[in-house]
Amino acid sequence: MNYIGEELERLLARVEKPARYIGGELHSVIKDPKTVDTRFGFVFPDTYEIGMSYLGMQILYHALNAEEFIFCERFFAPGMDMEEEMRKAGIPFFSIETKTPAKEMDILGFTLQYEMCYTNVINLLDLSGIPLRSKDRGEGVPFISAGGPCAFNPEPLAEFIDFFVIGDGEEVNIELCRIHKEWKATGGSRRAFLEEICKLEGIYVPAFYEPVYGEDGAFIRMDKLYKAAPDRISKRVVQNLDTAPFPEKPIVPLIEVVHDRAVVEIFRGCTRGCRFCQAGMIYRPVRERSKERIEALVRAQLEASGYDELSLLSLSTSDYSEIEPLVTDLMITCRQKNVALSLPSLRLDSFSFHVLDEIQSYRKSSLTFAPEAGTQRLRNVINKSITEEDIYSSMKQAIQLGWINIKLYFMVGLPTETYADLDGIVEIAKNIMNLYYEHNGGRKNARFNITVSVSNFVPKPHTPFQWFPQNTREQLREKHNYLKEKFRTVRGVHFTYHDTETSYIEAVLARGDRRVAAAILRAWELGSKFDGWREHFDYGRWMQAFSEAGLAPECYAYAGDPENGAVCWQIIDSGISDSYFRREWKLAMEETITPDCRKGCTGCGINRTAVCEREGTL
Amino acid sequence: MSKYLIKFEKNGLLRYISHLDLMRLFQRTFKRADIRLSYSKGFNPHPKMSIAQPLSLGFTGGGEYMEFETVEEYTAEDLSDKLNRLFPAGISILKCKLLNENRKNAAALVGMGSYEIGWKTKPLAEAADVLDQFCHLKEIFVEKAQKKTKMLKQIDIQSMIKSAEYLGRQDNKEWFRVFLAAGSEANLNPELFMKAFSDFIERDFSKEDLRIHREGLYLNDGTPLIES
Repeated sequence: MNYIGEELERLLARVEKPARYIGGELHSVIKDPKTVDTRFGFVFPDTYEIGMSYLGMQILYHALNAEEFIFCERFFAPGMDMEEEMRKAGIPFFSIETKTPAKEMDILGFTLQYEMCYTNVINLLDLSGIPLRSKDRGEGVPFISAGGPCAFNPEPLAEFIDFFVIGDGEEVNIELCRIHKEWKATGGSRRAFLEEICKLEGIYVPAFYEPVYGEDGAFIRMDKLYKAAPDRISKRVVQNLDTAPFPEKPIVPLIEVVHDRAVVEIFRGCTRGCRFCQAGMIYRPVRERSKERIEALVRAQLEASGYDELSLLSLSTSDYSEIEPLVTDLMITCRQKNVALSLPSLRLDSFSFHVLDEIQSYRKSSLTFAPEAGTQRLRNVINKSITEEDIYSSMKQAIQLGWINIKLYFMVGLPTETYADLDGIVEIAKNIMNLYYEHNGGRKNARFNITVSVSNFVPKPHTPFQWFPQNTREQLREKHNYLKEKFRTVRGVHFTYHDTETSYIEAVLARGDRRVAAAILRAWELGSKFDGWREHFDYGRWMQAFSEAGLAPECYAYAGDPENGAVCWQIIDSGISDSYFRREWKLAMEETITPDCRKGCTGCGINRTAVCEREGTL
Repeated sequence: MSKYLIKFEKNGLLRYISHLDLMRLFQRTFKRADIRLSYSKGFNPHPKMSIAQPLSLGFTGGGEYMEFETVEEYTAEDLSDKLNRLFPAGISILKCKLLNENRKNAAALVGMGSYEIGWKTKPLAEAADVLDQFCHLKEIFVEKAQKKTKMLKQIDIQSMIKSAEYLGRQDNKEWFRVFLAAGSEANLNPELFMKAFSDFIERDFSKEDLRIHREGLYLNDGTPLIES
């Protein structure tokens, strides 16, 4: 049974990439809806190709469907062409598995991977025929939930979402489905369900809280409207990855997606403490999956999927405690099976080079390196522990081993940044170029090239830089122009930078409070969606939306005060203490490094609620 | 090293996946079945397997062909069994044949294809006669978008129509069976054939109203790629 009616079939004949919508992939799950208690719709608010590359969805899909009483189906944002056809034909947002309308799910769970998807969330609720605001939803309408990293500042979407899931979702999603099953059997009210699940660790029901603002409009505090709701919502942490669910049979897409490969997560969290990095904070503590379990998962996934590429996932692959034996073993497995091994976010030490040289012996892809800032001073500020020495010695090795495409990633607009730091970016690129010329006996041919890619720093909640005012668009533009001018005369270097307008809106949405909802809604009404796509993003529309909503976006992007700044995302407890963020901010201003916490606890506070296995192990 | 030719069908939902998607699906299925394909030499090795004639997105196929080389030798039966167990609904191997190494490759042998076409349209009066008249026109010009430039160009498709037959009306559709040139030398897409036919009878035409099934591929003389 393929669930595709004649009407849908006509649309499929008309749209780009129809296989995005058909389902039927290897290891996708079909259950008889009549035999389950809870129908869960997992929504990735972007296209199929992007959503299917996201491991988190595979993990939760697998975990939810392992429970007999739950049927989890996937939903992806239809392409613009398909959406237009669907609206014309009156076809609502439907699931990939059984083409069931979203409105018929019990719970819809959106994953929020980046802020620029917020208008898509609104758009998909609308395409589903579900009231956009939580308060307008009556009995019989699905519960709308959201999770993922952006849920750590849930406030901009608080009006639209019935409950947020904070932190690791493997356990809590099943717990709340269990409550749903009981609730459904007893026929309770919508409110009764929300009152029940807000007792679970990691669940935030925004309707149970009300933000209080001062006369100047600044956020002061959150008042509770329901007594039994928790004062702060602690994120969920899955402590043991070996026993946590992980797909042995991943869904294998029928069409090419962004990352078309087997993926095994080797650990969660990061010990390095880069002060700009939200992931490095909110996914603490580090929890490793054992080498045996990783290898078993690799074998199972390759066997079940037939993939010809395997990738390991973590925030910093080289920091895995048994990285050398693991990679050595995997190289053998992969060679036997004719599978390509890909190792993202490697630190470029001698072992990595040995590995990269082995696995890319035929054609060397480009080598990516992220110093993030141009001078040692600024790298100390952001706590990125890479030295000049590290950069040049690894580039020397890369050149000797025959790499000819180097990609360098930097940020501009970091706290305390001066033009001397920008000069540092140019210096690094020039010096690497010179290393190549030296290696090449002084000849300057164009075979070797460096891409310098500069992104704009966006301060994120739950980081030591959460109070920092983003550089203005003018400042960022001047910095881009400065660098562009400097690089004009450097041969062999290609310079690219991110759009300042998108970074500005991203900063507003990242640190926005509940009032920002009005602007998101208005932007959507004016036609904004797929804002993460360069070709669809329209800055003018957003500005109009802010002005019509009576909001000053600069108050969110450019204001911030580490001395007394109350922040609206304080309602979420990431496990990291506020005093740690303040201390880290102070150390940043003093240009002082905080060491990797494997060298000894740095007091971030996460060990009050979770076990730090890697603390002090270096 | 052993070389095989398989005849397979591509049906149901899988008609929405492209030629390249299908190739990747086959590759993964070989890997899952633990059948090792031979790889080409050189800087960018790729498995030796090729589909005789790509099928357009949206068409179903009842007699598609693919060739490949394996490292070890299998019986034709063993090979189809192993693969058929793993294919998703919509793909299955109908025939499998161990080939003589020196045989010309399938892609070079294909000369024509037969298609069953359903056209959702109002009933056609004297359809068989009209179709016959159409096929006997001296020249049949139709607009075709050029691959690279996307510019429309008038081309004569008369010589690429081998035969055409009206099958009747069913499910609100007019049904035809046509034999059209297919392969590397000359190739006529059945949609273009239908476009020319609808022009001839002066009736509105939209691609979405067509249901196209390729029944088989043949040599120029009409013999199937694998003799039964």
